[in-house]
Amino acid sequence: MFLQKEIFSGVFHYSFNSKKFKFNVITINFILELEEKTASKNAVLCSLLRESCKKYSNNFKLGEKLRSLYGANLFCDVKKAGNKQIVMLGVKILDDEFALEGEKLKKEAVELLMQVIFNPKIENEQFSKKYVELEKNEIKNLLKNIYNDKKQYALNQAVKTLFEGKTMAVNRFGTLEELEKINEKNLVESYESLILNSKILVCSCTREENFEFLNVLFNRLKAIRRKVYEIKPYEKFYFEKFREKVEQDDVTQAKLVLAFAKKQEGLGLKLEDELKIEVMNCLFGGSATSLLFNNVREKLSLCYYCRSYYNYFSGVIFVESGVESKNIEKAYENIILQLEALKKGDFSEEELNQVKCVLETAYESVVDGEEKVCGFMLNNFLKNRDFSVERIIEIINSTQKEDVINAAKMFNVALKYVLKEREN
Amino acid sequence: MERETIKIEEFKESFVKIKHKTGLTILLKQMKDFSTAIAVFLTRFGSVDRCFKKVGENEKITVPDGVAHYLEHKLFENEDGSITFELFSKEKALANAETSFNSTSYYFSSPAKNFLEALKVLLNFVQNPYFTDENVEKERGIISQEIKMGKDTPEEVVFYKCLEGMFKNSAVKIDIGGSVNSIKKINKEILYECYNNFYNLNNMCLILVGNFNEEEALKLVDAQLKNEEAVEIERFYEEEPEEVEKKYCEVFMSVKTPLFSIGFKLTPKKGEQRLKTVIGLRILCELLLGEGSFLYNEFYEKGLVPGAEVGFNILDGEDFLTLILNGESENPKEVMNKIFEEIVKMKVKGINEKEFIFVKKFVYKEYLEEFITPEKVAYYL
Repeated sequence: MFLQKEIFSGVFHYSFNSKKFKFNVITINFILELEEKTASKNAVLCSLLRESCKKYSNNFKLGEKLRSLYGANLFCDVKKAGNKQIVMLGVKILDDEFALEGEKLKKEAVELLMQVIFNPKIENEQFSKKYVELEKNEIKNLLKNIYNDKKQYALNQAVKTLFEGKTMAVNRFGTLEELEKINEKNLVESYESLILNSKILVCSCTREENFEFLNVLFNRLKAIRRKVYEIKPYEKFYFEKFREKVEQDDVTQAKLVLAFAKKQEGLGLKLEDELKIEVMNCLFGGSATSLLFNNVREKLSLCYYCRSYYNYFSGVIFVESGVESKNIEKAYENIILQLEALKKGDFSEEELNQVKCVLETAYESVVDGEEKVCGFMLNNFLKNRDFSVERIIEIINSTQKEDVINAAKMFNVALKYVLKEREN
Repeated sequence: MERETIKIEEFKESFVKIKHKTGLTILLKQMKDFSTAIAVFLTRFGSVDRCFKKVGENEKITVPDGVAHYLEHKLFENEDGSITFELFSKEKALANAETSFNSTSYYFSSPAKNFLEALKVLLNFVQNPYFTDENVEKERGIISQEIKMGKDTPEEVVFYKCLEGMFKNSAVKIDIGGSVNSIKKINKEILYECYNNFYNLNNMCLILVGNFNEEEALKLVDAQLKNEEAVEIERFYEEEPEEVEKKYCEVFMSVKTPLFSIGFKLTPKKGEQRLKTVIGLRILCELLLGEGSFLYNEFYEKGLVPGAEVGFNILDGEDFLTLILNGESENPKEVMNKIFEEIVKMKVKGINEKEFIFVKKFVYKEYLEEFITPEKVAYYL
């Protein structure tokens, strides 16, 4: 079962356990404000911590350690949730019950995570210049390579255009400009801020119910004199004016991205209402029985993919599709038509029930995988909700046609972004 | 009906294999602790099956590239006008399908309580094709866009370019979806021809994994499966020389960091040897390129491969066996040379005691990992 508790000020532990799992997953999430000036630093820091701590000072030593732990997976990731940045470090390891020689793998995993987080290779108040440069290059590549995948690139450009001038426009890896300013010294300040000032969420998905093996980590965190920032509320995006942008590139197929935003009156939605928007989005373009799938793809044969996502943190629905350049307008008009159909209630109870079923299964399967469980717990934390999977399903199933119509009415097309082939 | 329990003692796991009276092979694995269950209905018909004949008949049939994939799309069409995805949704099932070089699979996952009804939908739609001139035509635009999407995905482009370089004749070098031109030749007659030959229960397999009741599921399967005459197919593959067609190919795309695929062409294997070779290649890749290896460290320390991540892909079929390593680098040739050097070293030195212990633990973990979730078990089976 899911447990959520605040261990002490600013440090939380969310957990789930079940005998069906053969592996344990533990993640430590540092939640920070997303800012253009610090995003790149945190991104570099995240992988730098993984790659060079004092005990496992190079990749070879770390690799050997991981190999001795049955090829345990020590992972790191930087995420973005609206105007928040999340630095995550975690480990996935075989449960002790399956160790061939009685090794205490869980204990070893926590020790490894602690080495990586609390014992970085900082000498003379600076990180190793060589590793900082290597990790800067890694992040630089990740930022540059967004361009390689044209679908991803188009979505990225659309986000930048829509949120221009706002924090939400900042990429989770920051910017190339800020990346250049990073050095082995100023990164130490970022590290201190990460440890001392961020909100921390520890997620564990384990085979056993006993969490004693995590006490060593909690005690270590308790021993630090932390002063946690007051986290600012999520900055939501509201519709102001319609924007349009067309770019050209070497593409075989045009990429169309639309954004739908709420007007100011959508303010102050309850968490239950947000789930109703999720139902509406699923009916709009979030499933294989959605209006976008059935009409833009199946009836009009305009595209292979045409789908929508609702981003809770910014409050925006994005739609993406790949079409022939000559069909851009037709696809655009038909996508708009589907949202209008929702606003008019032009859909059957049966169609609504189908998407409720789809969502129910998606949520129900959360508890069948360790990583999915950890993702769900982080999501609950970020949304500041303590909903169980059952409660979420209950809200989804209670959503009425009228709720969907009202949810759809909140949204207006705010952006049309097109990436198409070069004219010459 | 022949029933056999296959035990994997080392992992304290087992599954059931049934040869159904219709000829269908059924693999079952109950996982009662999980909330969902999965079913996969698979036929051994993939993109490389372009030329075939029924055993006992004289005429060989050759079909256009991309037909297995086209058929996969069209099988979702029903004669009564119902929409397959909607039928699945009503049973709270999430369904999809996939075509590979060797097979086509149709699958769903659903909550335990809806499993039987969803299984009925799966068995029904796969066994009842409904192709018309109109619905086949309608799909052409959708599949063309799917093919074009692939042309804008550099990983996919470089992957197929590598296959093209390695293979002279084998159909494995051709995009699973075919090309915008080849799919123009596909019509309902061709689809029925392929369906009648390859979607015969003797050529198919049903995999059920997760939280379901075996007895009830088998009862349903008994009632839903069509008794039909066994069709035996002979497949024809172009003869493929051992040597590669081209040792090096380049393709220009607008990317910021070059992408590479390094392919190794191996002699296809049969029977147990085939499985052993694939497992061996997986271990080799981990030893050669996994974290803790010399190359991983080298690629990372020199910044030669971003994230030091070199992925691998093993393609294994009746007439092809290949290992493809892929990644990104400003200097792909240097990456390639380093990998070659390391392979030569490994051939001379073999693997040491430490590496051997790791291999044992790693293989053990990898196989346990296959038994984590219903999805993974279904894939494993």
